[in-house]
Amino acid sequence: MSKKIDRRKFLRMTAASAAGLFLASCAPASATPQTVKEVVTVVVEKAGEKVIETQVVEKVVTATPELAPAVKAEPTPLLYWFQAENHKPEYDRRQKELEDKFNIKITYELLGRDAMTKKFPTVLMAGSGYPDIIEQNAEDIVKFLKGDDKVIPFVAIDDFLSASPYATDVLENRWARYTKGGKKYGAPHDVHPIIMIYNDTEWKKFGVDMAAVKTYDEYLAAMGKMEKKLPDGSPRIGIMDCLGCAVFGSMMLQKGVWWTDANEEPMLTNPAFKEAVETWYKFKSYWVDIDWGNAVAMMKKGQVMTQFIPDWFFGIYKQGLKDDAEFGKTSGLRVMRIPYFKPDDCRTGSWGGTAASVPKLSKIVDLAMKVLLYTYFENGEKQLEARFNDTGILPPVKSVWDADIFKQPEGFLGGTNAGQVFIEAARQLPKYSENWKTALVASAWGEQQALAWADTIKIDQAIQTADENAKAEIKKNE
Amino acid sequence: MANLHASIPMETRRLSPALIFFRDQRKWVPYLFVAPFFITFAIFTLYPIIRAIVMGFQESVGYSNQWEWIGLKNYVEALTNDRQFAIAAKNFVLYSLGSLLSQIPAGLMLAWMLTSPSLRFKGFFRALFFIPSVLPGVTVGVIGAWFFNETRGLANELYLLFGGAARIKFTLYPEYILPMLLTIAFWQWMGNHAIFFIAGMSGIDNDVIEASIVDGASPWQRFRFIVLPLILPVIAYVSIVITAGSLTVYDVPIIFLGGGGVVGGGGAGGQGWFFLPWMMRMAFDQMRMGYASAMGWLVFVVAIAVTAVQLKLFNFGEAK
Repeated sequence: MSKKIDRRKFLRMTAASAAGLFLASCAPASATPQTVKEVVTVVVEKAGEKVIETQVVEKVVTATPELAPAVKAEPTPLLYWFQAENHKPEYDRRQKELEDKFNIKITYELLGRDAMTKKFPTVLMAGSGYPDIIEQNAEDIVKFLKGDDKVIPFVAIDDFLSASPYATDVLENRWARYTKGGKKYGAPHDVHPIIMIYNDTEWKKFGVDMAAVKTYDEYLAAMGKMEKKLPDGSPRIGIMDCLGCAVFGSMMLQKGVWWTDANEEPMLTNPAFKEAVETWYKFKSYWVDIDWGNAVAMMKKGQVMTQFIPDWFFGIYKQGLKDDAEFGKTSGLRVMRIPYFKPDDCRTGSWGGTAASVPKLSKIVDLAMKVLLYTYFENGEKQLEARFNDTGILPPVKSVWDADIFKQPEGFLGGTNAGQVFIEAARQLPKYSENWKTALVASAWGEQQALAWADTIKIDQAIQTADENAKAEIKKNE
Repeated sequence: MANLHASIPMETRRLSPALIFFRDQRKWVPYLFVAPFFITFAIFTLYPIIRAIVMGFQESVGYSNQWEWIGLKNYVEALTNDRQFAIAAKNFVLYSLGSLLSQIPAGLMLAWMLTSPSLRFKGFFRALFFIPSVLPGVTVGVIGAWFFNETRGLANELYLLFGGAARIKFTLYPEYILPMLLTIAFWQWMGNHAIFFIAGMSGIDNDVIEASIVDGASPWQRFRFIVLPLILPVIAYVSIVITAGSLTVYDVPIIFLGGGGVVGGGGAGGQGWFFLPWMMRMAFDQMRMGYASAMGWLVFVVAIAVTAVQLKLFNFGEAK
């Protein structure tokens, strides 16, 4: 019997050969193995308990030559929660950059602060629906710094930071706020140094050159020269601030105190705290609470003469005044460093802050940490300069501060520059510690401060009651 | 005729109750129809309630879903060692009394005026007074904060107009906390209550009113002896709603008194706490979900007790 191939067999063999050739052509070309260092998280057993640790390991990877056709892995989904709406333009702009660089699919979720503070503990308890990166208000992150590393729900950043190119470039003092037990649990998004904005034209009408004012005594004396009413009869205000925000916070830091110290103890009974209170209370008759909707207009008009502002509030001024060319021509608004008690005091404080963390529950801790550090600290394509341009927020990366963007004149400041003033202030920002007790102490003081400010009680009584209440709250919630 | 079942053993002819049940579709199909509701109810209502009861006797460990049984400790702490809870209880009593005494008479008077035959554009005025009650709580809080603002608030302008010496920073004084909140609540809810009273008054038989006019009753006598008794069920309902609302006050105190700006979370001197803000703080600031749950159940018991008393006082809403 002759072995003839019929048409059907021929077609089958041809199809199989073609398929085989196609599959063969998809195989990766030969590659060169390389050794790289990588930070990985591992679960180890210590003293009978499972703990999450970070380790630096060496891995041999096969680097595919660029010309070889590569089958790209599916992008890894990454969920990013944030609450500051003014961060959205940057995240929208950089989404593609991050997705391409890390082969991820980012879902950004903008949550209100109230929603986030309720949702996050809930997802932690539920063990599902949690983000891979969570960016929170600084006061909300530090509430989780309770207990030791086993309890804190965030991954310590230290090893990842050491393995990154940003370790020595981020302003060191800004980490202290999010550090517990020597470990960093939040990456700072900002510095928020405080400077003073003032209406120079109006001050000069009273014979005051505010730029020459250095000490708080001189500052108070200047207030005394001011007329307390505008020509139209409306009140003129020397300083606008909420009671416990920029001015008092700055005075506390200048005095070397904060709500809690590095040992998590309240500092209300520290004599320096009382000195800060007594100084602040001298400004009572020149003070008004922040009018969020009208602060810029009031400063522009000369109804408010000075204000201590962090960079994000400067962004509000910029937003309100940058397009007002007419005002810019004659603007008397200027910025300067805040006064001091003694010449060697730091002439700044800080108000607010945002930081981001990676929850331990995340299944992609390594990747999330890389994305976080890159998002926050990378400036290879001037990303951080763009952040300052959009929001006026100073990034905490020192090498960026040499950029030209921080030297630009501001029209509404009469052509003077604010960026360099913020940078000088940022370099002087002292370390301060916060933890879960901080809000309890600050809140206890806030309740008594109102009474003392209204002269209902004396400062000593306010401090004593606040201290007792704070300690009772801490004991109750330990 | 042959016995058809003769060849079948006796024991197989006796069917089990379950089999009897499922053989007859008419017996079990109705349960299928109501099952979706009950399943949903069990998952989203019953289970959370039972879980919350159990949580009141537990405390969470860390931030995970681990719990430690602590018995009555949470309840004892809330009742004996919680300054803010005690302040919240005091504020609830004063706030609800203040609301009842201000909003009900004003609502009745407003309803009486809005049902007056001589009033034109009734619909417009009714809508105008009703609008504040449909605003979100945050909006109401912001409006209230503006109203009492030191530099540009209407309250200070009126105060100066009527001879006040200097502007007042109201949020610095504990004695102003409740009056401010009651003022805002009055503005927000008076119109809403008036609408209910109008509905009640509209249900009164006109013959009764006409008969009273014929008998020579004055407007006040008509209101006092005819209208009021006949709308007693509506008054009972409104008073229960006011009291329940006083237990769940949240948005407005948070806007006024919360945050780290001027004052701490409890307002000047910490005298501005209410139940819900305090429970939220314990649950989500201090992560004490069990404690917050226990406080919630205490508030629930108070709500039941107060409602029962009110129903008894109003004779269970029976019109006289």
